Amino acid sequence: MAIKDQFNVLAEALQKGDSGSAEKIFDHFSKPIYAFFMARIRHKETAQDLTQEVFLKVIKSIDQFDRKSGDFTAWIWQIARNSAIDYFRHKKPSYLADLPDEGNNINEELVKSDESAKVREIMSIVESFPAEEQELFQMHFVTDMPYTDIAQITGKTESALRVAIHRLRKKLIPYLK
Amino acid sequence: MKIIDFIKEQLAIWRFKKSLREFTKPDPAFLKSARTRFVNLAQQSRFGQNAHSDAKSRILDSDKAESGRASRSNSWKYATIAIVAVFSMTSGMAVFADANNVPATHPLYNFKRLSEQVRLGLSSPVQQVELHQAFAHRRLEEVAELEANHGDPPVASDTSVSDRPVPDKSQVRIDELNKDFQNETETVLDQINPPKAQPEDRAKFCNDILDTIQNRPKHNRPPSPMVDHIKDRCREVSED
Repeated sequence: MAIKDQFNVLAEALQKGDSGSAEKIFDHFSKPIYAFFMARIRHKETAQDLTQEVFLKVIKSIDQFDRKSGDFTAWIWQIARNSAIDYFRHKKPSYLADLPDEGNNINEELVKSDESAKVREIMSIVESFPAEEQELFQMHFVTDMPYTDIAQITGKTESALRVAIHRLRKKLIPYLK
Repeated sequence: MKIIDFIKEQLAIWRFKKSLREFTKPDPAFLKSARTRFVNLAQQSRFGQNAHSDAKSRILDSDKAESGRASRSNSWKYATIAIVAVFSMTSGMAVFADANNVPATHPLYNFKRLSEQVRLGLSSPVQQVELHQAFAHRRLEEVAELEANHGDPPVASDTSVSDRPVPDKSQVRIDELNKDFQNETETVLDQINPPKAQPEDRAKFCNDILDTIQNRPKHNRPPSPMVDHIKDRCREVSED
């Protein structure tokens, strides 16, 4: 709660154009948001574009943020979530097919490693999961988001989330061994 | 055994998470440029807000100034329209009254006189003489008409028009018209003085004006002293 309050204060400072707050917000959220897109889309440039788009939307919409309506962390993640939804909604069906090799968009050192191959394999498996589980995977495993934030974003209770994530773990473990 | 399995699972998940973090790690160059861009945008939005509020206040100020200008402009516009409308109505009524040679009792009579003044003002000296002559005739006709009606609407009566007493108000008006007739005549006589006009022109005017007076019924003629004065002036002009 204290962390969320901290970002609420930073967001209010950002509303006034405080660059220090902008730096802190970017430093905290840029990596997990990029990871969220990367895990979901698995295309480096697209993930970069969507990450920048999220922060652009933050600047454009920051005046609309009101801590009474919710915390900033949930607010910015909701923007990221909506951006991903919009991306898949407007994405051309042939987009991925047009890519020469998705693997080349991932960290090149990892492409050849076994770990990378394992990650890609598991992520492909996750793609076959229901949308809700895919999203939980991205939020919990990829971005390490706290339960409270995931609960706020998804509109579920924390206990329900814990159960859902436990099930997801159980589902993944056979592939991780 | 279960504990070992549990530990293995947790290790597998930890390794997977670690690999995922590596897999989804952003490019430092991208982060640096995106960070700079975000911070710049944040600052610009502040300046934008200031600029927006400045622009807003400028817009409000300009709106006030504009509304003031518009109000003044509207005032001028309405004033111009009113002036044009009044001028058009006045000139229209004057032209109508002049063209129809309305009688002295007509509400537009003053517009007729106004039109006559305008026509005189716009005419050449030669044309002015003709106009004064025409207007002198008009005055006589107006006097005759006024005396015929006695300044009142015709009433059914067995007494002849000439026998009816002329009301004071109409008499004043008749006197004014006779005076105007004399003025018009005198103006012409002044203007046809030698060497401005040829002797035959002077004689023609004098004969014309005196014939007009003589041809009128006695009760419609201008007062005798006035007629005598005009005769004297005509004699002077003709002798010169």
